[in-house]
Order: sequence, then structure tokens, then C-alpha cells
Amino acid sequence: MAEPFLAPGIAWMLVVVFSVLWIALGIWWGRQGKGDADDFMLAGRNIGLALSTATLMASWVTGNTTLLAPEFGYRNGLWGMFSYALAGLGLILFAPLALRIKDLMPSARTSGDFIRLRYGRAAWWVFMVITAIYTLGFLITQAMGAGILLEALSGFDYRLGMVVVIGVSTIYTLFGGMRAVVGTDFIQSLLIMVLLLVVAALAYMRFPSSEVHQALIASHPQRLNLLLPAGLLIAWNSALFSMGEVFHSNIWWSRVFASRRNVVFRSFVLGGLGWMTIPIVTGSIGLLALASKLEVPQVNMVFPVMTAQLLGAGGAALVFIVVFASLTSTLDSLLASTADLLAEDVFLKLFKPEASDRELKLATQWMVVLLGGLTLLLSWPRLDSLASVLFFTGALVASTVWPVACGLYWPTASRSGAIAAMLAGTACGLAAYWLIAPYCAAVLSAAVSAVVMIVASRFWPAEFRWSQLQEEA
Amino acid sequence: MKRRSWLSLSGVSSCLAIAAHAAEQDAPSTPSLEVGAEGFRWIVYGGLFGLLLATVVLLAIWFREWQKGKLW
Repeated sequence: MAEPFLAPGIAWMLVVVFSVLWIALGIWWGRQGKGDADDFMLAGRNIGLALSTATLMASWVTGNTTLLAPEFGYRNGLWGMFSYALAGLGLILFAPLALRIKDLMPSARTSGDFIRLRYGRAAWWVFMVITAIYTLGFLITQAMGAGILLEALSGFDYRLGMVVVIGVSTIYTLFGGMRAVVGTDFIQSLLIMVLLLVVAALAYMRFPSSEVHQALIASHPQRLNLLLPAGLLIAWNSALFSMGEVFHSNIWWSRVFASRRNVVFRSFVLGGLGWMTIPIVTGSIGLLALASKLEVPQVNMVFPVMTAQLLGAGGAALVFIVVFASLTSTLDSLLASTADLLAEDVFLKLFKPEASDRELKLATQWMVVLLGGLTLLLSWPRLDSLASVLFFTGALVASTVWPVACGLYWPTASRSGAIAAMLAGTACGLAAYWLIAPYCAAVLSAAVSAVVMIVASRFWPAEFRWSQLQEEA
Repeated sequence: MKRRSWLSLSGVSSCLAIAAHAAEQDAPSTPSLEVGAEGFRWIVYGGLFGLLLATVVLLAIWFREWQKGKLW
């Protein structure tokens, strides 16, 4: 194993300081609300613009943003980092839909509520299978990212790093619910933004952009090519994949329900725009690594290795904090929103409709613990390429974009059309993943799903009254 | 978004996917458009400036809402 960049003593100190801070703040924020299930799951449904924007950004800055965006820049050049940045489009395009959801379903709690009420139980089952596979894939990549990064930076054992990050996120989500998640997300997003600014500014003061450009022209001119075919394809895949992720995942739906109506649209637009700058900055560090002919043991460690090389122990400490904040801010959102989905859609609506408010809150807390444990279990064996896991789930989630979008706007969007669109899109996306290339999966999945959804709704239209969403919710 | 916009986005992405993949199989004839030093500088420092702006805007909104007691 390569020598760690951060002394284990400093790494442990940072872990203890930030773990105690997140847990203490999480518990404190959790006690601010009314203490009922709705408050635990959706933070009182009254979040303002600052916290709403920050929680969207922090949740979208995943371990992958610090691992994969520089890897994309390193492997595919400018289009690599642009393509990762295009994932911000998912948040921006979801803004009008978010407002529509808030108007149609002001008292709903999850994305599953919408699918069940709009398309019925069969479509809900297909949707839940897709969301379960996606969520597990997402949780596993975050957990593995935690283990790999903390090992590379500080020499922590892979499994120890993973246990620490999952453990801390689980504890404060368990005690503080969505209030803890949103509150810590605000501090985490500011930490990430400020520290990335410092790292990138110092890096480009050491290596001016003209020198980096010259080195790239001499050794890797294709990385600066704006017509790079693979780059264009990855970019479209990334945009559609992100739309699939945002449109279907309860992480984002729960933010819609938790925010005030008048801030929902603006927070998604601001969050998306702000987020797009982060992969541009981390991706450009990947290009800098390529220009300086840096030897990296694994390409997904370009960013931490480069920063530690450039800025020494101080740089390694900054990256450590950024990564720790990125991982915990995403894991807490995943744990909270998936627990909400399971408690509301499975426990309450499927098994125990007569459950009291207290029982629902308790079920949500149990789901947080179970999900934390399941993530640990599934991430125990280590995989070296996180990109393959990520692209695989793209085939599934991209198939949900059109059923969700059409279902929100067209009363004629039918349940059979939605089911067929999700199944056909997923099947074609997976075929493209294996037969063509992993980064084709989301594009073909979304395209097939669109055709099926539109044709089915046009030739076999349904008649849906929007009030049905409000009445039952 | 309107139905036509969704359709065109899907259509464009599918065409791009197929065209890009086909072009990749035929690398020697691939067109090239390299970014110059000035363009590269704009991209790198533009990203940094954007991140700085996003940070300042977020802090300003937070401060305004905190003053009015409208954070939660």
C-alpha cells in the first residue's frame, strides 16, 4: 500500500472533531422541532431558501464528485469534467416539476406516494424495485468511497474508514431526522465550497493555467478536444442519468416536501447552478494531474493524490475534511430519505395503515439503522471501479424520467404506459450497458422510455383527475 | 417543460449517442476542435469564480433569512 499523505494522528483528530460536531449539532437540531413523524421526516415542511439550496448542493456533492469528476477530467479531458458538471442539469430541470409536485401534493411525503396514487400499485412495485437497486448502488458507492479515500489519505483500514463515516451519518440521522440532515448539510456544503476554493486556487497559483495547457497540448491534445466523441456521449449520458436520479429519487422529493412553496423552484435552480461549478473545479485538478505527469496508483484517487502532492500535509488535511463532509452529507440524505420511503410506503401504506404517528416515527428510525447496517454489510468486499456501479444504475433510473414528468403534467399519461416505459427503458439501457458501452446505458434507457410513454399515452390515453393526488394524500 | 421540448431533448440525445459511438469506431476521421490557452484559462478560472460566487450568494441568502428568522 502507498504511504498515506496525512499522519494518522492528525486524521484521527479530524475524524473525532467533525464526528462530534455533526452528532452534537444533529441531535440539537433534532430537538428543535415538534417531535412528531412529519417533523422527523420533513423538518416541519418550512425550510427557507438558504437551507434548501445548501441541502440540495450538499446531497449532490457526493464522494463521487471528489472521486469521479477528477477521474473523468484525467481520462476524458475537458468533456470529462463538463459531462460531470452536466449532472447539475438534473436539479435545474427538476425545478418546475418540484413546484408542480408541491402544488399537486402539498401533504404527501415521498416519491412513492406519487407513483402509487398516479399509476397504481403495479407501477409502484416496478418503481420501488428500480429505486431500491439505485439506492443500494448509491449507498454502496458512497460507503466504498469512504473506505478507499480515508485509506488513501490517512492509512486507515478500508473497513474502519467505512464504519466511521456510515456510523456517524447513521447516528445523527437517527436522532435528528431531516432537521439534522438539512442543518449539517448547510455547514458541510459551505465547508466543501470554501475548502475546494482554497485547494484549487493554491494549485493553480503553483501551476498557472498556461503551463497546464502547454503540457496538455504537448502530451495529451485529445483531452482538450471539444469534439471528442466519447466525451460528447458521456456528457449526454451524465445529463440524462442525473435527470433519472433526481426525478425519481426520494432524496429530492423529500426536499420538495420539506421546503416552503415559495423557495422550491429557486432552490433547485440555484442548487443546480452552484453545484455545477464543483466538478469543473475538481475536474480541472484532474487535468492538472495529467499535465504534471503525476503517478496515481488508482485513477479514482487523482484528486486526493494530486492535492497532497501539491500542498503537502496541509493539502491532505483539507481534502480529508472535504471528503468527510461530502460523504457524510450524501449518506445522511440517502439514509433519511430512503428510511422515509420505506416507513411511509412499505410500513404505513402496505403493512400497517392504522399505525399511530409515534409508531411511524419509530419505524422511520428503525429503517435508518437497518439501512446503515445493510450498507456496511454490502460494502464490506471492496470493488476498485466505482464508475461501473454508477453507470449500471443509470440504465434503471433514466427509465423513470418520462413516467414521472408525463405523470405530473398529462392527465392522459396511463399506468400501463408508465409500467411499459420503465420496463422497456430499463431492459434497453441494460442491453446497451453490456453490448455497447456502460456510458450509453442512461441515454438509451431514457430514449426508449420516452417513446413508449408518449406512444402509450397518445394511443391508449388514461383519464386522471389531479384532485385524486390531493384527496388520498 | 413542454411535450415538444422533452421529445427534442430525447431525440437529440439519441442521435448524439449513436453518432458519437459510430464516430468513435472510426477514430482517424474524427474531427478535432482543440481549446486554446485563452479558452482553457476561461474555463479553469471561470469555474473557480463560479464557485466563489455560489459561496457568497449562499452566505448572503443565509444571512438575510437568519436576520428575518426565516431559516426554518
